[in-house]
Amino acid sequence: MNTQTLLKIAASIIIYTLLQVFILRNLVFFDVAFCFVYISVILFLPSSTPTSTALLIAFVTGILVDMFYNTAGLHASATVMIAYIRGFILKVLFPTRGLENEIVISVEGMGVERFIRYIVILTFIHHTYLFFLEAGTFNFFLNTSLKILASVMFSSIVIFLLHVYLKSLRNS
Amino acid sequence: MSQLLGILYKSRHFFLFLALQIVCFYLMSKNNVYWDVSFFNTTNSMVARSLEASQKANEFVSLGKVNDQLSQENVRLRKQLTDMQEMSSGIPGYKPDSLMAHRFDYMVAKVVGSTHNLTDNFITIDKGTEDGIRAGMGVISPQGVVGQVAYANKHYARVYSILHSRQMVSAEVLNQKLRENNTVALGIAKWGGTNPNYIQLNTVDRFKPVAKGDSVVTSLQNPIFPPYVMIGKISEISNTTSEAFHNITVRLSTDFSSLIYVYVVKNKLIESQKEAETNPGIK
Repeated sequence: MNTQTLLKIAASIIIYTLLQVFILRNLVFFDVAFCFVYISVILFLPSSTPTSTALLIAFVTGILVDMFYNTAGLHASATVMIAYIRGFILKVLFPTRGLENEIVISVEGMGVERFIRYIVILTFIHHTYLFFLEAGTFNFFLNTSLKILASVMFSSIVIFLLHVYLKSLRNS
Repeated sequence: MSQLLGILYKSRHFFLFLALQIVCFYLMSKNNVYWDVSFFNTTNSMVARSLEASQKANEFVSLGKVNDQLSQENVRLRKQLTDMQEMSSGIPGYKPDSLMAHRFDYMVAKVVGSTHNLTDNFITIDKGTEDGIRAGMGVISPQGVVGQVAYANKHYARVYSILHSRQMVSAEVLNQKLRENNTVALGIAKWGGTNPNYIQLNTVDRFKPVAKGDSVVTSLQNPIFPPYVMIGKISEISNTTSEAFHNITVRLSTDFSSLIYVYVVKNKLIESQKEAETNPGIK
C-alpha cells in the first residue's frame, strides 16, 4: 500500500460521505427506498487491501455517517460487517484466481455481469444487516423486507452508476 | 504455545472484526446514553453546523409553502381572537349573543398589485366572488388596517386602500388614562393625501387626554372591521386652544409598499345592521 492508494481511499471516504450526508440523506422514495451509497468506499477498495485495514476504514466511514444520522454504531457495525465478508465474496466469485494475480474491482476487470453481482450481493448483506439491526426485532418482518428489497435496488443502481461516472471522470 | 500464537495471528482479522463489532454494539446499546450524548456534543459544532447549512437550503426552497401555512394559521388564530374579545366585553350585565360574537370571518388573499403614492390608491387581490368576497368588506394585513373592498369579479378584487381620498376608518385612541376615566376617544381617520406613512385623525375631542405614542385602533362602532385592529401610533399632536378637536397625525403600522398577504374580513351581520339603520318606515 503506497501513499497514492491511501490518498485515493481518503478522497473516496470524503466524497462518498459528503454525498451521503448532504444529498442522499434527504432522498427517500415512498418511505421505503433508502440509498446508502457510502458503502462504495468499501466495495471499491483495491482487492489487495489487507482485511484489517479494510475493517478500520469501514469503521471510520461508518462512524462518520453515524454522526450525521444520530445512530451511534449502527452504520459502523454494518459497514465493518461487509468489509469482513468482502474477502470471502471475492473468493467465491473468483475461485480460480489466487493471491498472485490480483482482481481489479471495476467493470473492465470483472465484466459487467460479475461486477453487478458483486455489488448487489454486498449491498444486500449490508442492507439486511442494517435494517434488521435498526428494527431491533423480527416483528416487522414484512415491512423491513420491503425496505431492504427497495433499498438494495435503489442503492445498487446508484452505486453502479456513480462508480462508472467517477471512473469516466478520472479517465477523461 | 507458538502454535497457539500462530492460530491467533492467523485469525487476527477475525479478532479485529470482533473487537470493532463489540465497540459498535457498545455504542448502540441504549444504556449508553451518556457516552452517546457526550460524543455527539464534543463533535457537534462541526456536524450541527453542516447540517444547519443543508437545512437552510431546504428551508429556502420551501419558504413559499411555509408562508401559505402560516397565513392560514393566522386566519384561524385571528378568528378565535376576535371571537374571544367579542365574547368577553368586560362590562358587567352585558352578554353578547353568540351570533353577534362570531359575526366576523376571515379569508386569506394574496396581493397581486398595489399603489401607495397616488392620490387615490388601490390594491388588487387574488380572491373574488367565487371565494366569497363582496364589495364593502374590510381588508386588514398582519400589521394593521389596509382598506375596504371596492369591487370584486369572479377571481380578483380591487380594494380601496385607506390611502384613498374618500376612504375613512372609525378609529379610537387607547391609553391608560382613558381606560381609568372609563371614556373612549373616538375619531375618524382619513388620509391627508401626501405621505403614505401617515394618516390624519382630526375629530378627537380636545378634552380627551391623548398623548404622543398612544395606539390608534379601529373602534367598536365599526361594521366593517373587527374592533381593536391596529391602525398606527400617534406621532404628532397639535392643538390650538380655539379648536374643538385635536389635530393628530398617526404613523400607520401597515407598510403599504410591502404588502404580500392580507385578510379579508366578512361581517355576517352587516345586512341586518344596515337594515336597522336605514329602515324606511322610521322618519
